[in-house]
Amino acid sequence: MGQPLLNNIGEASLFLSLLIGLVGIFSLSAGILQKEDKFIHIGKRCINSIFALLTLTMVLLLYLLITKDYSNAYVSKNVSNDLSTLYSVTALWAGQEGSLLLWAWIMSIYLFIVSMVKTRDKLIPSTKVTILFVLSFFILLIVFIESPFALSLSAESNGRGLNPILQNIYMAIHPVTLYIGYIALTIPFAFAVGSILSKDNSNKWIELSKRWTYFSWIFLSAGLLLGSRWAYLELGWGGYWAWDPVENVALMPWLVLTAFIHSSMAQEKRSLLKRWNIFLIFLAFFLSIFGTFITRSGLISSVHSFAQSEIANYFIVFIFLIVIISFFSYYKNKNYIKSEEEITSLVSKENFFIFNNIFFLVITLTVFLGTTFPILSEFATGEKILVGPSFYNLVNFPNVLLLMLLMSIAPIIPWKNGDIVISLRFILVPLVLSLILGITTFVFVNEYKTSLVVFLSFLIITTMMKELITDFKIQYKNKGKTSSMLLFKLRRYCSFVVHLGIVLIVLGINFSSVFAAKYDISLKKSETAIIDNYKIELLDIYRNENEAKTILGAIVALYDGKNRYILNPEQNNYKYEGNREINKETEVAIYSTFAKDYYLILIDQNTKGNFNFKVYINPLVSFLWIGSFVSILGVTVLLIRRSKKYE
Amino acid sequence: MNSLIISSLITVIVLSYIFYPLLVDKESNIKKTNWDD
Repeated sequence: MGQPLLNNIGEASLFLSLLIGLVGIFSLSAGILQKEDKFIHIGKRCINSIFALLTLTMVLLLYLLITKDYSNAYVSKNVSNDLSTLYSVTALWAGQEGSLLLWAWIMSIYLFIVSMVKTRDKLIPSTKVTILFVLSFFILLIVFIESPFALSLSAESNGRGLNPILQNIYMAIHPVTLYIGYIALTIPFAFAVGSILSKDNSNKWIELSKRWTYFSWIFLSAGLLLGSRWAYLELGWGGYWAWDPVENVALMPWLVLTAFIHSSMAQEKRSLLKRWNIFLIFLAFFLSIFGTFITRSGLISSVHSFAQSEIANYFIVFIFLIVIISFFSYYKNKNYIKSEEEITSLVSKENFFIFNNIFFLVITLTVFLGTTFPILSEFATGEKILVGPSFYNLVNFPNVLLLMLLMSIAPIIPWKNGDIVISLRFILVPLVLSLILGITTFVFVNEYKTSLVVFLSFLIITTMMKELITDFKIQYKNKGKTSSMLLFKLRRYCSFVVHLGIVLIVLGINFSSVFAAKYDISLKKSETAIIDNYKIELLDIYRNENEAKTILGAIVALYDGKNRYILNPEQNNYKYEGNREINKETEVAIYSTFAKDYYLILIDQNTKGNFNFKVYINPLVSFLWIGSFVSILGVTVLLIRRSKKYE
Repeated sequence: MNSLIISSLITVIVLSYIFYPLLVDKESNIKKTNWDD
């Protein structure tokens, strides 16, 4: 047994932060009920103290991980002597206990920031108490169920280590990026609850939430992007998205949040859809908690782990509690939440946002049903029926097309009352050009999905370009400065950038899934194989060994026309087993160009002495990464812009 | 023993910080909420 001092201080700090959380909830609630600022002030000090205490526990756990202090059970479960310092740090979120502590710490930072806002609005105390309630639940889980400061039962000289497939830079930052986005959803949710509890019918909560929603969207998107990139590089099946339940539960809050970002504009501009916006942000938050529950309870790996995992029961109680409290406060105060205007025209931006919301929610529902179907089917029939990617692709494809159609028209439709004839006249040239391109694509590739995607993508891009050109012409006529117009319409142009990114993503997904080529080949050293238009030569094979693993590697030359690409796939076998589920790890070799990805996996050596490879040629995958980056960039500008006076 | 002393010290510091406004009657430092808006 090692030195338990730091572990004990960690345990005590966590317990103290739970107590202070409860004092804070009580104090803030008393302050709200009695309209007494002294109690609110005590609540604020509780929030500051929780932030300080959780920061202390984070520092302690990080210190224990970096110094590989195996007296701590969490350290001995997730770190080993051969693990680098970087991955010892990332082991903080490799296990349940560390992840929950990180979760609580990030939420305490957000709460601290909310607590610092200068506004004296009456919805702020109710917002704080809502966040504190959610935070206290997570601290409760850490203190009583999943403490990261539990002591090891026996003296150990080495830990069980980190799963090799998690030892990747994308996986190192992917979970924490996703957490940051996930947890940030709590803040707009809390502002909505705060607005309801304080019977505030103004749009204040939407204004206060705006930057948080952008912030959350950026990190959720980045988290999804990094996760896809990790799957592509590390899992070795040639793809980046498998409709895996863990991926799905991260996607659902993103979908609802995207819908909310659109519909909240209708409230901001025209005080419309007030109840609907509250419903959407509730849904986004519930889905984020549901996602945490699915991922953290082990429900996805096996339906049986549902009953075995103690944390699942707490989550179920919490989800029920938070849903009941939210909807009860909504129902009780719903008369105070009323839209001041009504949608008067079918052809209006606000009406198009409703269509947008419907399509996003249909996709969310599809993903939800697909994700939970194995669980529901096992409960109902005893048989676990899995839902494959074809279900998601089949159902979601029409919705994505409809969303793209909206994306091409909605930006040019005005608020309140639009004229369909004027709008159609505006998009006539882009429409004709896009139709020509769509039909040409069909003639060349004879594939209707791709043709439709190309048609709509081009329609979106050309409509945006026409709008930009029109704006510049007006600006030129008025002899104004271009920069002032850019700032004036910054929000609009940012939305163009985001839409452009989404178009690139859809094109990338479509081309890389429809036109991907896959080959299985077997080669001896110095042997060459010719498949379709490609020539593949196995130049060399090597075997290496270090302290942690044995490596089988290949040097392969891939020829595409005149171009020659050198690829270096590897197979790693880790010597020290620890608690790793997989000791064999594939290092994929990828040569990425703008048009194609050359993706090579070394499978094994067969009995004849030949080396087996899988080769994937994936077209336009680069569009997916570039598009994600572009859309994230667009929202980042929205987040950091100097705000209102330029709108 | 050391961990007990340090933990107690942290507890005392934190609780003093939290309940300081109750002990010292300084209303001027407390931010006022617009309850009636």
